[in-house]
Amino acid sequence: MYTGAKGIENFFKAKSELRKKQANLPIEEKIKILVRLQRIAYEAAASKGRTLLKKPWPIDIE
Amino acid sequence: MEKTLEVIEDLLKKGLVKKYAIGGGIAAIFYIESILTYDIDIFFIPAEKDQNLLALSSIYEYLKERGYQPEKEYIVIGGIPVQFLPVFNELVEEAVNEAAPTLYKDIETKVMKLEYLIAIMLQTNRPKDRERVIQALNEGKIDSVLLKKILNKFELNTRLERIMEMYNAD
Repeated sequence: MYTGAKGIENFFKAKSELRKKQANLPIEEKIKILVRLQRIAYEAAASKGRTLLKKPWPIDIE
Repeated sequence: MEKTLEVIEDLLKKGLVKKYAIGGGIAAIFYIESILTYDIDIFFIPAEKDQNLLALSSIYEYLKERGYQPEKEYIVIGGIPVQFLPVFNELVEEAVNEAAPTLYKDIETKVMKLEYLIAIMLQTNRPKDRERVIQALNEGKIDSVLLKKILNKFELNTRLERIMEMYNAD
């Protein structure tokens, strides 16, 4: 687990590595992630009774 | 997404724009991890010089005839909001001229190079632009010679230095 100063340092290092890895994904995969993010944002707003004006893209990502 | 990119590429083939390039958040996603965004920004050089409004209205007419509906500042193509923006300064025009032809699945499109996106974000300088600059520098594969050349030409070096200090970036 990420505990202590070294642990926190390792956590940020791992996070940074993950971001770099995700940056290298093919664009088609990144668009799928984008649509998932849009859906999460939309559902999160809906669960608080708000409707986002910007809607998730209606594209099939399965 | 394929349909959207196909329709945009058609504008070039039909001569409605001289050149175009995807900019903004979607262009950034070509180089960094996915970030939350909802629209595709298309920067274009009009077919006729200094005819920005005329070109914009021709694009809208052409798309409306094909059943794509405007919604606020966007036009929705294949369910995706697309904003068309005529190039508005020298940096953006150069970014469109230097855009890299790219494939999305088997559809050809044009995307601004990361070095130009960074320069445009530095010029625009909103909080989200500053964060994306840092993200791009950390995650993207940067041609540092090209970036330096662009930043020198458009006098954006100091702004980059300031942002790097602000975010404690190396």
